[in-house]
Amino acid sequence: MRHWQWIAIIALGTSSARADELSMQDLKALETQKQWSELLDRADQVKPAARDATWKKLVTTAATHVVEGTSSTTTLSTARALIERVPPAERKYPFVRDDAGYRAAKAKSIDGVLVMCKHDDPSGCGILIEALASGVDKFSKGTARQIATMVGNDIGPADAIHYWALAVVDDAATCKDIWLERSVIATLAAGGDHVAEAQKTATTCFASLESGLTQALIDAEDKSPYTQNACPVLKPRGAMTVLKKKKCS
Amino acid sequence: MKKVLLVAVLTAFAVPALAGSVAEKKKHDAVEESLAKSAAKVKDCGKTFKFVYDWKAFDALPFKEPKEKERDSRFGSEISNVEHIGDGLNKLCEDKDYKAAMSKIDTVIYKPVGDDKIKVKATISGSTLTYENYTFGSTRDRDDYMKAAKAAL
Repeated sequence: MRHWQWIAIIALGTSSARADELSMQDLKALETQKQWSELLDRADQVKPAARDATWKKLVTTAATHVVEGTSSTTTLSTARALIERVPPAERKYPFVRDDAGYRAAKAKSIDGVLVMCKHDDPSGCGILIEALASGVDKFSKGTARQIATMVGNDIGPADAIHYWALAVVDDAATCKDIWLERSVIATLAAGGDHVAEAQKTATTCFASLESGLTQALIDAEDKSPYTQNACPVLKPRGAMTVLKKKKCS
Repeated sequence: MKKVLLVAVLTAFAVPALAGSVAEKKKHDAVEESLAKSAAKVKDCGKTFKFVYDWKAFDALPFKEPKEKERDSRFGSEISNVEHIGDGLNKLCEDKDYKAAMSKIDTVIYKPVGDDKIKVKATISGSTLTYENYTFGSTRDRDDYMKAAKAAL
């Protein structure tokens, strides 16, 4: 192969790589045009070395606008299309979750989606809401309980524990909700990252949950995750029963 | 003639009342009989227990309208509900630790309740074990009573 042919191939390869790249100017142009979804999709196409101090801010602003967009939609299907962009964006740009304005926009958006979920077909709302609510620790009053119920129904009781924990802080009467009990027991039985949250909720709601926790302990194997995770809550509280002596010592 | 008529009138009113109380007694007796049979099933606890049905609690149940009909229909359920208490306690006493705990119990009270938050719940007070059962739910079996006692002892 002649030299000019090699040069042509290399040039083609280089120009193709450049076509995928964006400059900071391109990104700022998307901001000016308010093309928030595109900005969010393509911000990682600015090479790390080319990213200036405004790059993170642009991404966070775009993510916030995408989330806020759900508040101006009137149908669940439109909101769904926007919300489905949120988890991949957060995985791609994890720093957006540290931004208080972004989290506040998510919390506000959730309120709107919950209203839509009540009016439209609520099936699958738990999955949708969970995508939006992940990482948010402060909701308007009553919202955490609604999220917990939906996530518990659509995904699973153990996946709802974070929202139940927030709901209890919001309103102590939530302790009497049977779905909270199921979530606590399921989380203690599953083990994993949310055990501490389940134990804290079980401790806060002990008067309401003691009976259910104890019944679950009767059915649990001696060395099971449930026994290991429930005993620290049950053993120091209530009467020292034969059951506790046998299973929690 | 007047006397005959008066007797006839009185009998006409008295018979249904008498029949009602006899029928009521028979229903009570059927539940008590089931409870006595249940008590007789406790063989492995090393002692016998006095089984008591809480009729006051039964009368206080939140029966739906028409209350008399609903109340009547509960007797049959209660015969079944109390049937397995003895089985449950006997099964419990297979474990020596629970058998030891049951040695402190003399009386077992069965109390039907209308609180749907509980299924079967046992509480211990002194030498008395009291079972509260949500009577409008499913009929209880041996394991329900055994597990409830395990939770309380």
